[in-house]
Amino acid sequence: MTDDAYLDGLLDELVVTEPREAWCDVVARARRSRRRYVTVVAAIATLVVAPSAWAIHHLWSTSQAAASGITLSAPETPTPSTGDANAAVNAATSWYPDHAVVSHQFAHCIDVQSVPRLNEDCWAVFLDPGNEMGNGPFGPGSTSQRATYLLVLVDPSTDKVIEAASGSSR
Amino acid sequence: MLDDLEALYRDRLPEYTRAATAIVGDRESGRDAVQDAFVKAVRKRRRFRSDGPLEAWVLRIVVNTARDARRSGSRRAETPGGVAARGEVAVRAEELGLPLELLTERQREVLFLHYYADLEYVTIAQALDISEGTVGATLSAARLTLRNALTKEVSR
Repeated sequence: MTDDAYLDGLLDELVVTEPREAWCDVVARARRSRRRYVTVVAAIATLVVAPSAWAIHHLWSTSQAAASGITLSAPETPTPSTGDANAAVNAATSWYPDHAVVSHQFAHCIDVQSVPRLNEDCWAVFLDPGNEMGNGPFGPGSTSQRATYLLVLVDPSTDKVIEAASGSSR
Repeated sequence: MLDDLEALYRDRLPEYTRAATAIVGDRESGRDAVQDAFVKAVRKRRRFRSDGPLEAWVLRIVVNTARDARRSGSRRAETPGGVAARGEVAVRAEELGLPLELLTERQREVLFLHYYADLEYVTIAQALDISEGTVGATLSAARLTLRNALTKEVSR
């Protein structure tokens, strides 16, 4: 049988790369990201604190959550910092770059339809559904129609999108 | 904390870059993945819990960023027929006769982290969120698969 030394030699030849050391660039980019998030949060705060008639109409409700098979309740762990909220909003908008942020909240998220079942604290970011289509109220006979909500759930520890759901509660 | 991250960056950049390059599949994306991962680490440093080693936490971010880069790179490289263009590492592996395609994603990651990042099992386990025993078993299985394939090739 081929020995380990031979295999190690092949692995050694497989990846040859020169690192590009630029710590200053890392720090500068991290600061720029933070400034951008502050801007995003200011925009969200404007929507939440002084909601327009449009925003009120589109705000997420418990009935909409139930309609998608997703339920949001009080989180079991402390709400993360504002910076973490910014990262979650950023993750959501990177999935749907053309959809405005309506609001966000830290909640205990349960999705009975996902496999494996989602049952953890996460960020729930609500976006303007725009022209998205979605299913009607969750259950037998559910039909596709113009979405009235677009929800993106984001993992608070990794800032990765867990899942997104759009639908209509009408 | 920022000083610790800087020290880790300066000490371990070559190893991380090599491991990330192996995971992503090309050198430029590997270097970018490490830079991006450290940007994330700096931004999220207050979230680090000191009950585990900093290196494992950073390494997890590096691996996740490299995975994301590989997946988005694969999507970009897909032709209309749905066949993805192969990266530099895959091409080089074929030139060397190293059948990486026989390994699972986890086997490749464990192998790359162990070999290129020169990490102990416990750090790899923490970074990939698996047990130390699984790291050892996965590494053994990966090396056995490669050795067997190479032996068959040589005996032909």
